Amino acid sequence: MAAAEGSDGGKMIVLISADGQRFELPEAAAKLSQIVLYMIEDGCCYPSIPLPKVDGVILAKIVEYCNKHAALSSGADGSSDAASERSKERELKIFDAEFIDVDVTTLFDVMMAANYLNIKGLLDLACQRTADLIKGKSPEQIRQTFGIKNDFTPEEEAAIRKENAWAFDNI
Amino acid sequence: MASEAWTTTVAALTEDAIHDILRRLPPADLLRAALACQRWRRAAARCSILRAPPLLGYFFHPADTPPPMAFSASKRTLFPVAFAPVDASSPSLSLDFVRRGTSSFTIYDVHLGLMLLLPVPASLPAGILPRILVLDPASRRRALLPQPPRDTLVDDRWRGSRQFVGAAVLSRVHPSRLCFDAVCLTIDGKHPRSWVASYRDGECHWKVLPLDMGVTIQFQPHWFEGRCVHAAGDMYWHICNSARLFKLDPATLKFSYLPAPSELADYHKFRVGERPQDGRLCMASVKDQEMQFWVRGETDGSDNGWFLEKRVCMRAVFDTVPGLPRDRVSRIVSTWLSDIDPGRTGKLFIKTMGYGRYSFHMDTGKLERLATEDGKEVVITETRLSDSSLPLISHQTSEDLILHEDI
Repeated sequence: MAAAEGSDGGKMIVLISADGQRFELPEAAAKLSQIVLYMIEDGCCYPSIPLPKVDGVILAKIVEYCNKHAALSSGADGSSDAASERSKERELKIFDAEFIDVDVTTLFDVMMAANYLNIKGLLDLACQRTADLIKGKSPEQIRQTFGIKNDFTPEEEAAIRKENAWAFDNI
Repeated sequence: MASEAWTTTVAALTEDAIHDILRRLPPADLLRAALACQRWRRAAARCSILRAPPLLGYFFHPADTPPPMAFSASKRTLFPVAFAPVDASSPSLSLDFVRRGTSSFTIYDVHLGLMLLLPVPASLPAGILPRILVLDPASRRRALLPQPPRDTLVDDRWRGSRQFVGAAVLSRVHPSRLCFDAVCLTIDGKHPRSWVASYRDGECHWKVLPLDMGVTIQFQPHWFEGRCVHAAGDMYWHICNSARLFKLDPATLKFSYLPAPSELADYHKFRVGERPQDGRLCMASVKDQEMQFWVRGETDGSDNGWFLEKRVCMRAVFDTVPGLPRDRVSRIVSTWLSDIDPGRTGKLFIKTMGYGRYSFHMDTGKLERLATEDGKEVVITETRLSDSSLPLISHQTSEDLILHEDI
């Protein structure tokens, strides 16, 4: 079967989410996922790639990320002078910051999907964002932020706090 | 309820994902996150096993800048211990938990997250071992060790001729509990002896080792520097005016001499430490405005088992020190290497007589003034660093993380 052609002549890949939604994206963008890359290399990506573990809402986010990063990755438009590289980097940074500014549930969903699809840049972004949410918080605030149930006994908790008292100052 | 959904989501994270998140946290945040739940605590423990214990900063006694070229031994004020965090994100440790303060103590060693201090002035006769104060700044615990009982050494015929040299942290038996061994070095007659204090949860036991007859001290013991350097797994004492280092193997408690490269033998001013990239034993000297960096190892043309890795002319670097005289002789007498940064940053600490203290980065060539906010000198050399190998979280197995009730 012939590969689908995009408007710019590049190959297009179709991803199907767990709830049956179709997402079409350029091959260069789809290849950011190591899993999809292997499937493309093995020729088992047509007519579409089913992703039964990823929900449509999240897959839409993932596709948005891949499209942006593929479009702005170095040399995509043939220009490679330092000034335009820097401005692309800046644009990606701004995009990433806005992209990952989501609620905790979405953040974890994106992280799990990035892990499953093996998109390293996105996984790093999600993990870093989660780490940033932890910074400066007390254990109780961390639990509240992420909905973690405290399974320490009060004695255990007191003992750990005492052991590293310096980390629990003013927090 | 929303938190219901969140609980599922956070529980859905794999161990690897939690580890990937927590490994990005600075030490204090990691400790707090480890208190969220048992699962996170296990993941955090993995982080602290995988990464080298963090260097949090340096403990030191600030000092006044002496007048230039003042070589008479002036009476120095001993300022209370201060802490310089290694960077802005490091926590600021303090010793304010020591109720009676540390003003009558001076830092002798910082190793494995423990600080060892000895009383000042040492008004005791040279043959009597002083009391040792050991602090754990991370958990704010302290132990003031008793002196060894008089009957520790049976038939002690050396009492009259014993010379106490110094004390150091020998090992830490448990990463978080206050359980450690400290060692005192004495010279009894012509041979060295180690005295080991084992401290376990409030109990201290002294053990005295037999004289090490394999090593002879042919010089006055006061030529020993009291503070030792922990490097590449061993402990080293510098000896003034000697071309050798005095070494103690902490595993066997055997003493030996280690000769410096013969090229430095007639110079006698060198400092031992760890090579930044791999922790190998190394030695540095600043001799006639030239820095030399030697590494322990055999190669073609190695010198006494050392090879010269780097040579840097320091003249232009010293030119940037405000006020430093420009003539060669004044330079040589008023600048010297005080230590290799035990934090393995690639820096050397340079001391001047009257022109401040500096760090010199061997790779970038950058010279930076070390001073406290109120203009006192940061005396890294006389403090040993706080290689605050913080017992972040247990370095043992995860079972060990189930906390101890005996604290």
